[in-house]
Amino acid sequence: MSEKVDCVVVGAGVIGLAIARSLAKKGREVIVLEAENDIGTGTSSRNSEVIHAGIYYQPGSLKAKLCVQGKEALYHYCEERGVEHKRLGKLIVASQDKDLATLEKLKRTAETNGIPDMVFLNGPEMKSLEPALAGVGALLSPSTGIVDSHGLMLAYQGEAEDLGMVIAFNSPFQSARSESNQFHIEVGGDTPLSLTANTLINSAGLGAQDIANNISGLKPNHIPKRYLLKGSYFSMTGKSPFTRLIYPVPPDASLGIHLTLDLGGQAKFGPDQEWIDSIDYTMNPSRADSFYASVRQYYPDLADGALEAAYSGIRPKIQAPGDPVADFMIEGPADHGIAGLVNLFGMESPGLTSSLAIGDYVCALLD
Amino acid sequence: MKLRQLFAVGVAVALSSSFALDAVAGVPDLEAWTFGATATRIENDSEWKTNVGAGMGFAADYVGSDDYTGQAMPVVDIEWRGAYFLSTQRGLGLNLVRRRQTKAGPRITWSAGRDSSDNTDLSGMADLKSSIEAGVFFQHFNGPWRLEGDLRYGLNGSGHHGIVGNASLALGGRLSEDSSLILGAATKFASASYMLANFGVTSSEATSGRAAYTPTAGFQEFAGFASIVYNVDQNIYLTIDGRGTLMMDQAANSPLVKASDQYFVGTTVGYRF
Repeated sequence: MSEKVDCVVVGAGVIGLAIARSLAKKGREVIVLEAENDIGTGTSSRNSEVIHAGIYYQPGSLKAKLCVQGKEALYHYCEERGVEHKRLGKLIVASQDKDLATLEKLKRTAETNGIPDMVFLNGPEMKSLEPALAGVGALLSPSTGIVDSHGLMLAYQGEAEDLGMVIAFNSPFQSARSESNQFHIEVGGDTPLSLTANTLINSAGLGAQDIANNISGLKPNHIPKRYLLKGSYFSMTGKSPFTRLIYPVPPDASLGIHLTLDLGGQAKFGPDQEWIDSIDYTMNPSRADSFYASVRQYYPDLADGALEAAYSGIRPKIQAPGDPVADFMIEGPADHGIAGLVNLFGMESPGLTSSLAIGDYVCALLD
Repeated sequence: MKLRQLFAVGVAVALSSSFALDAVAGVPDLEAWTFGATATRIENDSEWKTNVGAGMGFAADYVGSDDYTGQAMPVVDIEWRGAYFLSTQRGLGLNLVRRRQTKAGPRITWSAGRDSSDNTDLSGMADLKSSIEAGVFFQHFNGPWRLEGDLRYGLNGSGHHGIVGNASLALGGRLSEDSSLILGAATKFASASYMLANFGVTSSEATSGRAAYTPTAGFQEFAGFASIVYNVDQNIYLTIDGRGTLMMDQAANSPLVKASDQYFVGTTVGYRF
């Protein structure tokens, strides 16, 4: 016998919880299916915890739009809800003169994306802010910050539960079929059950493609291939030499080996890039070897042996190695033709920053 | 019903509920927390010496947590002919050496594990199963002084599977005809395996807010404690216990440790016969 519910959201990561919150605020009855025994056990808890300004993204892209919208919403939400965060600011550093043109380009991109407050600093101005920094100039992003990602997820969860949302842990989604504008969903785990829902949101992060492949009627051209790009972080022993986030001028499609701070003020470097075939968070301490040269371009005083393995995360990519960075892929009924279904793929950075805006965007797709 | 019978019924009820709570709370330091309750023994000629009681304590959710909750503290301590004992505090053991002032011998103890559900700060951590420990202990009394120590080895691989040693020195004295005060200091030393099980974070468990951590062997903590024991009569006693612990380097530096200073306060009511 099938239990009838209004909305099912698959995945209790930061984006799934934000979507559940948005749906619950609109008066919808929401059940979140989570395969693990806790919220945010995947990419949501293994990232830089940065609130991004929206500098890098292609103007007009979902990443640009949702990041800028989400950023201010996130700061406001964190202040309102007492979620720990800091608006530290970020410096994008040009190590050489040839990088200065890239900084100019980034500033123009940021302004096109609706970020007017980027400030160009010459070498001496940069060093007056961060004496330990080496370089010929930098772009200051005052609105970049850091957030307690777990605290944020708990806030989303608490608010949504107050509005009636329920999370079913240890409840992996198995399959769904659409019939008469309703989804018949099979759920596994220790106590398997069947659900009938009007709305199905696939926000399963690294598992989104597996979920989509088990929704009958969804055409394969609406399910992008999944690629896994692992990133390892190394923490720095001792006091952080910087008080802001430090990013090098992006060397390629990545943001480079950057320095972020946690809310306790400890510095960490990463993430690097390692294409992998299966989900594996095991850290290889020797990956730190490649960090030293990259980091010393902007922080030459990094001591040998100062880096210790911290954690790793995996980016859910939807572009192949070497291809241009893809945008968020968020498809609703108008895209794939299945009423009540929204799929989210490739929800990498700036997913955390954009989470509140993504929640509202998904609700709008269903209207 | 006589007062003593009523008391025994009350303790039995408290024990049954406190054991249920204990199973949920996973009391990690029962022997230390109920020091006052087991510090004195009734002197009689009986082959059996029994101490039953129940109490409540306010302690950290897990070792290193900065969140505190109430925890049940059962006391069931049975000793036969001064030799064999079965106790919620001391475990199952034998006083192989049983002189008037010195006791020593082997014992089997149980070390509570830790569930990731015990506290949100443990979210994503693998559960640490409880451990059966094999070990040795000694106690030596010299006037008002009591020196105690033990060494334990975790037997089951799913638990801590390490070696841990405790030592304490306590001084007791009468406050009044019916009450006494015990003050003491204690320390705990643990092997790398024990430290890793209790304070380590693997790559799989490491997240943005909790870096991977591999501790080595060392002193886990230094503590000071105090107990006041009040004898209502020859059999019934009441204790008030307090303990302050400072966690040390290898343990204190763990990402799981949110507060390196840990506190405990509790009270026990018991019946010795």
